[in-house]
Amino acid sequence: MRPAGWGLSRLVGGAIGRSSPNLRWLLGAAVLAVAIALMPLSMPSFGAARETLVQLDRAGFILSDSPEPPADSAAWRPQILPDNWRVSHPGDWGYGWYRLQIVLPAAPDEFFAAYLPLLETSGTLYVNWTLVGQAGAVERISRTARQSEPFVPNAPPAFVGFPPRLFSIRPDLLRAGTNTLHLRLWVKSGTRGALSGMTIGPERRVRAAYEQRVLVAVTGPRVIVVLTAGFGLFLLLLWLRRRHETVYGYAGLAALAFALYVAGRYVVSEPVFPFPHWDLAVRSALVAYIVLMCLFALRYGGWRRPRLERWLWAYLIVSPLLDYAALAGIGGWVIQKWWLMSFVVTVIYVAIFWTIGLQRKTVETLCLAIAGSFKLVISANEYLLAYPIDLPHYQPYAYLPMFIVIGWMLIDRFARSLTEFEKLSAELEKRVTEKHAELARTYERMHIMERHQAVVEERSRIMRDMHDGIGAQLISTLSLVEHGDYSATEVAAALRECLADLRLTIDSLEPTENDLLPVLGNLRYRLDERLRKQGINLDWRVSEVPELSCLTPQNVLHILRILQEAFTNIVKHAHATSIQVEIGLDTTGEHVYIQVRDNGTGFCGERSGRGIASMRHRAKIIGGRLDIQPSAAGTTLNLLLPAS
Amino acid sequence: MTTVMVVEDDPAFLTRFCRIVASHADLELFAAVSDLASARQAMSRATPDVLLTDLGLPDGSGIDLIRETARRHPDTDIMVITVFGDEDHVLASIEAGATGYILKDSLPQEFVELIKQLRAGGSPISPVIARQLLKRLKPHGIAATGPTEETPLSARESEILSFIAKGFSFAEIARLLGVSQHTVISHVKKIYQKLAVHSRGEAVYEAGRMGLI
Repeated sequence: MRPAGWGLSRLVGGAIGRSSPNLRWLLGAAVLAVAIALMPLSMPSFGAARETLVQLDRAGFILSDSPEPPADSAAWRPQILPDNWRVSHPGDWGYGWYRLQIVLPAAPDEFFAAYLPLLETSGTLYVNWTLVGQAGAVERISRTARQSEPFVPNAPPAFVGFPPRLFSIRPDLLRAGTNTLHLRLWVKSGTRGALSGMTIGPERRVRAAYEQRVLVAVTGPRVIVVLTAGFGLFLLLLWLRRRHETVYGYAGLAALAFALYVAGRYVVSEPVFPFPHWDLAVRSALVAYIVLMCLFALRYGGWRRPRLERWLWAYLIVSPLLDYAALAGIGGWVIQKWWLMSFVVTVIYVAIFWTIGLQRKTVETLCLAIAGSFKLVISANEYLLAYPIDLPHYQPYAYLPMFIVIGWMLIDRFARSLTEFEKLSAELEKRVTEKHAELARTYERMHIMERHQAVVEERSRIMRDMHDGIGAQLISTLSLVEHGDYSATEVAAALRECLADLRLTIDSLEPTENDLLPVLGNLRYRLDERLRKQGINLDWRVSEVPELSCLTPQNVLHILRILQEAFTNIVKHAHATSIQVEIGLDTTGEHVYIQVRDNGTGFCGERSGRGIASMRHRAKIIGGRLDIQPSAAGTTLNLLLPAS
Repeated sequence: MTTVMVVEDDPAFLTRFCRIVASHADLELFAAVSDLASARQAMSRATPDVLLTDLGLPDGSGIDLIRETARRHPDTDIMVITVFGDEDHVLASIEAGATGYILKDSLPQEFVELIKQLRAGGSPISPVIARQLLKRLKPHGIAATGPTEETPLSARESEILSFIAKGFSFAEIARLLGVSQHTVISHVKKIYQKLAVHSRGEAVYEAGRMGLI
């Protein structure tokens, strides 16, 4: 009577014996889940109180519309319980009466109860000709309205969501000796009519058995539906965020299809829409589940089998049509047996899982293969072998191991990717630190090179300047001395000019910090004495000027040379008595001007032409402009420097 | 009469300078030596009014001589002899205690005038050096200066320094500020002294920081 339970336990136990400790742990969890589901089966149903419980499995039966129990004289014929109408009265539906008898040694002093694990579809119970209760909605339909409804005789019924039934029996209705019970069964058109054996005894004992059955057949499937649907939605959301991982999409859809199948077949106690269509919907959900599991297995293994996939989709679409044909009685043996195709497809996905598992031999793949096999084993046990109809269905629990394994896979992946991420960010941080240090070193090197470059540039500038300036002057002075054309005073004056020029160069090396005034002030400081000796009065008019970014040593030297040239020209050629120097910001604010105005006769002779050209050239290099305006009252020299 | 001592290892300059001093009635040559040892020996008995020294001497730096003299003989005015009057040399000399500098190629009358000016109160500062003085004597910032340390320069002194930095002469500054030129010169001398004191203070601070004292 318990082949499914023992068979499964042996199978799982065997697998554990050969597996690694890690695998053993996971398998242990799977077995625990199944064991919980199967617990009611392996527990002694009634225990020590058995002698007070009576199991009735022999009855009298009569197909009758009579609203009252038919008399004992009616045409009762013996019937063994459980009674499956599809076997005993194929094609029949409507009302049937069962008569059962129980002999009690004494009248009971407590409430009794009659427990029926299976009562399809609904019924009414009479004890000693008195009505004690009704289970399910009993329809008032006269037998004359009866019509034959199509069904597939060999296929499992689409709708078995009927709960176990318990009828309470008042103690005063029972008496010592023989008691007669009449059960009127109403079989809904399109469903399977069935009645299991009846257990009678004190209510508190009977109720325990009833509650166990409720747990396995009613509460369990409900929990499974909610759990599986939630899990499916979770997987689908995961897939939406990671569209390229279709494996999650198929797993999620498969879970949802399974939830729909379990809800439609085992949980809903009243179909939402009429029967043939309900049948088709439930079957389609099952077919969808199996097909999606196949696709999940293919994706999981990373297999590309386009022909198989096309075939699976075709099967998913064609199946409802063929089922409909079978319901309508169309077609021959192939269509009537088409429902068996679901086994073939189940075998396919189980085979795929096992191939992957045996190829990779990892804990995950092997667990998945074992979990995938549950459905096949349970289905084969319940539908292909002779399975007593009054035993509970374990089909709803078929997905549970899959749920555990996929859930574990996800948690494992999540935890592993978190670890990877942490490792990666630590690595990244390390690399950033390294790069940072490297960058600092590079920067340091660049800085040194830049400094070196600046030194080289400055050196070459000074060399150039000495070559063109003091070098040339010293050579010309030397040639004068050698030719003896000049007096000692003249030579001294020429040498002083050399020194003045050298000082100019040295001044240009002083850090200016972009401040123009000390630079010009220094020039004045150097020239003041000389001008005074020449009898020239210097009027120094200076106002604050902004900092000038153009004041590099090179440009400072250019400015100093321009002005020195100007002063030299004035002293040598202009015969001036007064020089006015004005420094300030012009009205536009774009230039700082240096204006040198003398009251002499002008110095723009042909001799100074080259000098002036050189001054203009220098002004241009700085990015400034030089204007020289000769007039009768003297010459005005204006040097404009860019203010920014 | 002003007694002048000159320390210079260039014999040509030394000869030229001795001639200039001898030709002036107001000046009297105290000593003319060419190294540190002789200079120290010369000053061990008496001190000159004015000390002119080169920096690069055969047996050491003129800076040491300036520092010693400034400490031992505060009444002696010290000038440094330089070819270019460049910032590095001049500032170091002023920090050691010199109150002016003289260019080596100066004309004889310039020498005499400078010495007189120096005795009168102070010698001119070039604008670039004035700017450096301004920078050094201003507080560098809250971190570097203790709460007890005040700005070494008075408002008038910094004003004068910034005028010098812009190229104005003492006479022009006196006119601009409405004071006598003499006042300006005495301010300048005070600035020189302050830099010397300040730099000594800084040296002590630095030495303390480096763990030398």
